Amino acid sequence: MIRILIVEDEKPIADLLDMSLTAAGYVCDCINNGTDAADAAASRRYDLILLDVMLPGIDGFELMEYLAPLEIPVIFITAKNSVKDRVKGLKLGADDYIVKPFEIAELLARMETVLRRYHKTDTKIVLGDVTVDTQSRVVTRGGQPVNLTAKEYALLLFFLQNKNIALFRETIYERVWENDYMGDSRTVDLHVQRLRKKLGWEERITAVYKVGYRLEVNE
Amino acid sequence: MKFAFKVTLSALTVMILAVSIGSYALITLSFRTSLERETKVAQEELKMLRGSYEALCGARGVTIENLDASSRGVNRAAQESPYFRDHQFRVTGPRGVIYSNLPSQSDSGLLELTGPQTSAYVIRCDADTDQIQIHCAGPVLLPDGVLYMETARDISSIYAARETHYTLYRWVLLAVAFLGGGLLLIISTLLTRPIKSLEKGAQRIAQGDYSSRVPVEGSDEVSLLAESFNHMAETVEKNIEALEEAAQHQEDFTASFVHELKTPLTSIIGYADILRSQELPEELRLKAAGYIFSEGKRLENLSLSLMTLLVVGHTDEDMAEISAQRLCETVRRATQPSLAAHDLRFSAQAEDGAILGDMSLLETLLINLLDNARKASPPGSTVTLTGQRLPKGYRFTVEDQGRGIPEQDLKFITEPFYMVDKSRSRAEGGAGLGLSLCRRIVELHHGAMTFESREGEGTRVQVTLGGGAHA
Repeated sequence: MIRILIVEDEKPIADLLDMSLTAAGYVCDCINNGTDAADAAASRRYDLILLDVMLPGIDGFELMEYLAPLEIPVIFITAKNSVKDRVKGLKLGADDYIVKPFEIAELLARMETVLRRYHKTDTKIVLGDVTVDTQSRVVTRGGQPVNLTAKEYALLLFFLQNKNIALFRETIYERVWENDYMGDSRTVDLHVQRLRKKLGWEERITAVYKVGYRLEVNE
Repeated sequence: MKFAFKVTLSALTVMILAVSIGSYALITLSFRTSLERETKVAQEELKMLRGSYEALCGARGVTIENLDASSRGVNRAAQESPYFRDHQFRVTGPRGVIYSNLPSQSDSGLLELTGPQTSAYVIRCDADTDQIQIHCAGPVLLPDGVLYMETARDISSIYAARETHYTLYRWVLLAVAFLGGGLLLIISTLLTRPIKSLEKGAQRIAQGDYSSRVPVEGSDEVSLLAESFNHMAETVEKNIEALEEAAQHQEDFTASFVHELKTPLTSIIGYADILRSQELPEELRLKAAGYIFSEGKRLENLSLSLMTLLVVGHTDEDMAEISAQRLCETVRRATQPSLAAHDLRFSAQAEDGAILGDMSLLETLLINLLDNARKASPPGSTVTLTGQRLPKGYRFTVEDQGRGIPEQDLKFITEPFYMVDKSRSRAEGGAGLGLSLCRRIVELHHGAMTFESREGEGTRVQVTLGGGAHA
């Protein structure tokens, strides 16, 4: 279980992060000012801190100086886009710097990179008899390696990142094929069919009427 | 070349020229005087010799006719006489030289210039003796003709003296050039030192040290220049500071604006993304949609406020005499419902009077101030708008019994995007531009706006405008 501390004074954004990260399987705490954030970071073991720069009370940069000795990875989230601010943030010891407005998918990808750097993510994902090693990109089923194409592998990872969430076909296509959805859903259907067959997941990946697909995990 | 060198060089040139001309004139004058004196002496000598010789010839009865016979006698007499022996001369008759004890026998053709009535002289360099001589010639009158007498006086010493003077003069000139030059260099370096320090000061300023000043000593032109320079540096420093401040202002404004713009955008994009990519439970979907709506509203508010702020002052304001009471009534009608909805008591009263201004802008101003009062006031408290005629103007006062403004925030509240309580302003849908707009409107009317506030007791805003004539 990976625990994330969200320090953001704008409630809509804090809620947005909470909602998205919870859906992605993280556990989140939201705090809306610098002073409380410092206390929280000191009292509880967090794996990652998402830190807004413009905060009431102590601002993000000042807070960073306090957080640095705790050795918790920090990603700045800010509207300040100048090179000067980026350099300042990174020099203070932040691991990454994301500028508003950002997309959740990008944030998740960057968070994973940072967490992997700190060896906080499991490189092995196990689901039933299927094991995915995200480092060597090897997928096995019952100990036997399964041959997946690059797109199939990306599709599998996307499902694993969004367990139990009904995903629209359009979104799947956009995220996996990294193209805007052109209206042809057969590509997605085709790949889902192949993935189901190769992994024996006919029951796990269920079709959701008028929406798309969902990876069902009962834990 | 350094300025000190230039000064030294030009002064030295003038000095050398003056010394040269002076010395040359002095040497030449002294030489001429000596020469004239020697000439006079030579002529006197010749005159005396001629007289004596004439007397001798007369005593001996010498004539041209018996010259050949008598000349020997005369010559002998001349040789024997100590007087004639002491002088060197030559006597020439019609048939050649009669007597001569001159060391050199060279002839300078002087006799051709000489007549029975005239004598002549010439200065020549004698080829035989290498002397410079004054060669004089004059007639010796005999009863039946003329003999000619010549003398030669050595004046080499005068010329030698002139040469000596010239040599001396050259040494003096050399000494003057070296000593004077050195002295001049020291003096001019000392004199140009303030210029040097001025130059260094200018360099420091050019390199960005705008607080640098140069020392001012004495009261001559250079120190006046230094003073002016310092004055200039001060002005430059002030201007730079003002520019930096303006740039900082601009930067702050941009940063705040970007923040205000990007925050709602992030939410809108993020929630919309969640909505379109996942099937959410009803509760979450409503929450996301709610945020998209409220953040969209916030963007709309921001753009409207910003537009108003940017447009005010760039369009032609309709400045006219307007009735204070009518303005007050319009504002009262516009704000009454929202104040009543927040359970506030509201009273609006204005004295009779006229204001010079733009009706719609002044409405915006007062509505904004009343809106702020509403946001700050707890339910059940009172908000008042009063208009008061002044001897030279008109004053509106907006008073509330709300939460007040902390003292340290008071001077910032009219800055764009400044919010005393960010989370509360947000909840009210503010972007922090209202009071900036008010300040802008008051500035356009050449009026004044003052805030008095006590935390927890209330705030009083006074707006003083021009006008004031009886409506």
